[in-house]
Amino acid sequence: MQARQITVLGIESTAHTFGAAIVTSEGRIVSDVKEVYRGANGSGIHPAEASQHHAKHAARVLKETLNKAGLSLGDVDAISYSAGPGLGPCLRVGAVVARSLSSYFSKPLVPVNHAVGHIELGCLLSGASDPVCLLVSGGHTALLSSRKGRWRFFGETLDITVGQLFDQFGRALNLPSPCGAEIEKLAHKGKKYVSLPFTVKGNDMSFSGLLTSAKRIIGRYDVEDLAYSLQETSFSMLCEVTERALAFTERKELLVVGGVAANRRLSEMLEEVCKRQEATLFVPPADFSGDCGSQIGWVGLRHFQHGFSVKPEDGFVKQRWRVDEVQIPWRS
Amino acid sequence: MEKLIKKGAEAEIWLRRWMGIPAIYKVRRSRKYMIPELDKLLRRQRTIKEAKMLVEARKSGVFTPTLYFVNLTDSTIIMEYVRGRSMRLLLKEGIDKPCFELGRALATLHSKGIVHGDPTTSNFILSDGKLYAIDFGLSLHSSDVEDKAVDIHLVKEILSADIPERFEEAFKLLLEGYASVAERDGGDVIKRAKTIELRGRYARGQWG
Repeated sequence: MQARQITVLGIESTAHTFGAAIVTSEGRIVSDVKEVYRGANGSGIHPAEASQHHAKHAARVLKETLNKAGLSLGDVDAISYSAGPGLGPCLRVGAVVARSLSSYFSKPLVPVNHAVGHIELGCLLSGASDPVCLLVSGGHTALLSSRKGRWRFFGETLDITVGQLFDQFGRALNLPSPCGAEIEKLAHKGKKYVSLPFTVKGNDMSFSGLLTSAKRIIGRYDVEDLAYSLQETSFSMLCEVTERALAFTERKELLVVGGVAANRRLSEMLEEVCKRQEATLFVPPADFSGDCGSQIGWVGLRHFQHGFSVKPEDGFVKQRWRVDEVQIPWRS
Repeated sequence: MEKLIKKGAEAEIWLRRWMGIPAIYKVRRSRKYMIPELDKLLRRQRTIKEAKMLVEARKSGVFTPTLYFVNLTDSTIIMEYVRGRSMRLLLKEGIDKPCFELGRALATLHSKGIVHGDPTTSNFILSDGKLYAIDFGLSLHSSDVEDKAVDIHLVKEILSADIPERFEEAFKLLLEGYASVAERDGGDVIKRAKTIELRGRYARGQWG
């Protein structure tokens, strides 16, 4: 007997992105629309402003998502939303929208962990089946692999993330946030390596000393050389720990997801790491490596298929919610 | 006799003859993913650090392979070949008892101001009833509670990922071993390790 196709609406609103998507059980992304909040040059995300941004654009983003898919809300089987981790005010916008729709249209509601979204959508789009995952974004910098039905940490940052490292360094240079793309461009023009602290502790990394050192020497070196040195040092740390994870777990697939995964220098370096460990690198398309509704829709769909949903009044928000707290019934 | 025992992220471990006896060659080859400036610096720094620390750790009272020779031109350390099984293998076979010894070894190093820096379970080898510590490439001199606590945090992470089903008991054993020789700051180190864990991204506990 052929299983009926399931269609799920996913709503993402953990940080700067408000996004929505329609995803089907065949793993097809029917539509994906997003609107990204941007603060003034030299400043980051103001949580209250970002949440107002999301509230302002929510209705239009939703409408566009449904129009592009040629569906109405009555047609979807469930509604999923990012329940955490993230910024409280931003998360609440997505949760309120999802709860209201779920209640009004009597649709099952599925809270989704944002990080699981990155990883699982990455697997879907890149074809990785049981990878070591490097999740590297503004909210996370971690190496994970699945074991006994959970994504478990192999190693992670002990302080700030690589996304924060780039954003905070970029802000010190008065660049518009998020600064990743701009730093990559600057670094591409850099030639001279300025020695910066390389801090790997076992399987963990620390980037806060690197940030302080780099900020302290702004003005003494060319901006391009600084960006180059910052990028090379932090990525080399990531690569070393990634290689350790591959060697230790003996897995032959490496998946890289999160906003920083869009950086081409990083994939070039990881490609080399994979060669050394005889593994294959999987990178999802750049449009889907950062925050988007699809990551929430896809994981919401998988949870829904495994019989998990909540009543609208139980639709929670968790600002602090580690990936390894989530049971993943479809992973052994 | 020449055999590649392990190809880690940072170095290759070869079993090869040296002056007529079997010995371990730890070779830090250049890593192409890094720019040459950074690659050279790390290989040199870590080779020197590891050679020094192997000797110092042994002086502190922890078993380590005897250092035979250091060659900085090709970043190679030649040392004693310790026959035995790693803690990682033992844990896989369900043998948790040496966790106590592991805790003891860490506390012994810490009491002499040595922080291992990479206390994964594959870096401890049980040989003839003696637990050897290896791989001091990431070690440092420090009497800081914070640095010592990172050692405890790292080994805790590995245990919880590696044997999630028996983690609680194994880690308890390790802490007992640690407390059995730790200096006065032992309790602070354990407490700080918990704080480090709570500093982790999105860990709950501090702010509920």
